Amino acid sequence: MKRLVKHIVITLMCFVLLVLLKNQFGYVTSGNTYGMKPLIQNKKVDNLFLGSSIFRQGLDVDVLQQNLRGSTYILTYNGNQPYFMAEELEYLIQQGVEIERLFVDMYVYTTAATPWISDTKLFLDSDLPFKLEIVDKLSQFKDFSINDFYEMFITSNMEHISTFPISSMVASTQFKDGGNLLVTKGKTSEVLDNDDFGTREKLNDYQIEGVHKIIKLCQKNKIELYFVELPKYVKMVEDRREGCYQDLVQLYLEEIDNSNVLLVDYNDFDYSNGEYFQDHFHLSSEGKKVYSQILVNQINLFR
Amino acid sequence: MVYYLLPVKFRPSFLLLASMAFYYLIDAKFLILLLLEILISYFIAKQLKKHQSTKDKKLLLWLGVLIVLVTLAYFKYQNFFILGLQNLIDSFRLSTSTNIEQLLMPIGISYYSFKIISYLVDTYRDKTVNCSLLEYALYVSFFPQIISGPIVRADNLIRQFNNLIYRESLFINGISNIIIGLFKKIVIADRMAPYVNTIFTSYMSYPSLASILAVILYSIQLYCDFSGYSLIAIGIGQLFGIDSFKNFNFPYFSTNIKEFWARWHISLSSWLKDYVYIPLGGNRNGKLRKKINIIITFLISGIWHGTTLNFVIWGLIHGIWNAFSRAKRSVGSFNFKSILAMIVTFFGVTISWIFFRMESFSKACDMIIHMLKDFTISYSAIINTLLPFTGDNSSISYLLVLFVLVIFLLIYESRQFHGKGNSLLWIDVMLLCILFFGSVGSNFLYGQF
Repeated sequence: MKRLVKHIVITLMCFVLLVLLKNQFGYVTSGNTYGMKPLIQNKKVDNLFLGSSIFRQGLDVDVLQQNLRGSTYILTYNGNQPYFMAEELEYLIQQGVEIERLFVDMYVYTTAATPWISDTKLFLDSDLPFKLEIVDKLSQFKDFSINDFYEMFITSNMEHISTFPISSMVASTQFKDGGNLLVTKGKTSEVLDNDDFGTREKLNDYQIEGVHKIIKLCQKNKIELYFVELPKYVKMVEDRREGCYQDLVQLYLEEIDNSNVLLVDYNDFDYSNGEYFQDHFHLSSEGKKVYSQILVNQINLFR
Repeated sequence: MVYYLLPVKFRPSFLLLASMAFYYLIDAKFLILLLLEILISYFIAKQLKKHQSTKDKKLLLWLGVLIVLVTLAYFKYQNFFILGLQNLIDSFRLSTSTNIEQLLMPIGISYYSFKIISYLVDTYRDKTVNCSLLEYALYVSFFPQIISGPIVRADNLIRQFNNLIYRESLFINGISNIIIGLFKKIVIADRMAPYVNTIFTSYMSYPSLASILAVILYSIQLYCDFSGYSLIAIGIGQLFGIDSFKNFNFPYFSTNIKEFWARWHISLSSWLKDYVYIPLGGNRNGKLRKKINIIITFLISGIWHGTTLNFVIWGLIHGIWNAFSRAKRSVGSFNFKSILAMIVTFFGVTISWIFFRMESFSKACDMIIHMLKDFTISYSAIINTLLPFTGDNSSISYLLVLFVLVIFLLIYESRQFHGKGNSLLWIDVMLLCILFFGSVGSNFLYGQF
């Protein structure tokens, strides 16, 4: 019995040690072609695109790098929201990353939701103090269950960490400076027209707080800031229901005083072409190429 | 702790109370049914012991068995008849669909009904020990075993109720079994479940390679889920001083189908052998009758699992395979011939699980046709096969981890199979895997039967 208890105690001690190591140094196993790690290593980026999978799927890193002055990097997390983008930006600045220009994803559906950890990869890319701070801030308005904590600090990213020599290598072939290199096919307009999406009542106060924090951080650190709205499929753009996507875009624009905004000119981009979209908000590889060219022209014109 | 502080004579009462409380918590509305079945069957068993005449005893036995079977059939198979009736009514009315409310099945009824039947039959055969109502009620309702077995025989369990003392080696075995069971269930089976469910639900949307992978994973998932549950149930019993036989004895190391059924769900297989196959005549009436008896036994096993045609076909496949298998139950060492035989048996059993897993016979056939007809290996087929694991680029690491964990289990089980000691280091690693890779929340697959 003593032997069994000894074994269990030692195993649990190893477990605690591994959890601490994982949360403090897990970022070492993170990929070198995507996420925050390459940015922190390089310490400087001229054009940083900060957003969600909409940016990852909708921006062609090659087109951006060929047409924009200086270095370009796309930092994305699935479902990334303004609240977290502000935290990520602050963390990068704290880690000594110099940013010349920042382009922020204006996807308003996530801005309408209460902040939540939508992509645990953020927890892989950061150290323990950052994670604790995030949890501390979120816990002011969100209830965490033991399961949530367990997932965040223990089980999340374990597959990646335990297979990182292979999984990092595989991921490296899929990304370049945060840009997705995988070819993604579009849908037919028929399929997209049959898919549905909801409406939202209003923007979330905590997310708006995040938007203002991004503005303040950029002002304080002399970063040129632009808000970018990527193309959405025609059904979404022309939706006129109460609380529709375009209503929320207007609310967002009011919050940022309509300044430094890069909206899509739908005269230049065929938003009814299903081949350009994977779904109503994510562009296909074909759509990504066309739109990125439009965006760099817009940026260069704006500047 | 509280349990072992109690005097030994009060321990069965404590376990009975705990079992009743457990059943109340998981299925309060059917607790009365459980108690009624216990009381009626105990009364009939008492009468069986009193009567000397074979005719009276037979009558009493049939009465008891019928009560249990009718109750089981009422809850388990009524939905089957309700659906049939509903379809019949709908076919006459043509327009609107009639909704007849379907019945809920009491948790564990399939398992405790079999326990009761075995007690009645054993009493009839004068093979049971004398026991009090309390001991009998505990035997039927013992909480670790009530949801999905194992279907332990009365003789084995009731004998132990008189001597529920703390035994260190049994206690340690209990903890080890619980850890191994949890590892199998929440680390391996539950890790496979989302992928298996996705592919089995919409196999036509994925390459045939995905269906093949899902079928193999389901085979492993079912084994890990059910044997994991059995180990946890046995382990909990051992913590309370009650030992049980193994319910799974490395079935996928079987070199033929007969050996497989001697190692898979042993408590059900041996129950069916003792209370169906042997009463049917067993091997006593010639070769042809023996084969028919085997097929009938497996058909009953299929119907016990479910009422749809796919379960009947599944039972039939195993019945015919067993009846016409010439191989003897042999346990050999791992050599080329035996490994080849293991692989053939594994794949045969795995294909039969498609009928077990699919909701209808036609869908099971469609899936098999899809696997064979549309089979291609290409870059996009591989990518689309792997993607359902997580839906993004982490699918590869997910599959890699799964692969390593299955290999770890395979090495552990092959060591056990060859009688190598149960080193605590293996248990330590399993505990760490549970803590880091465990996912909690899904039900036990065999709970539905």
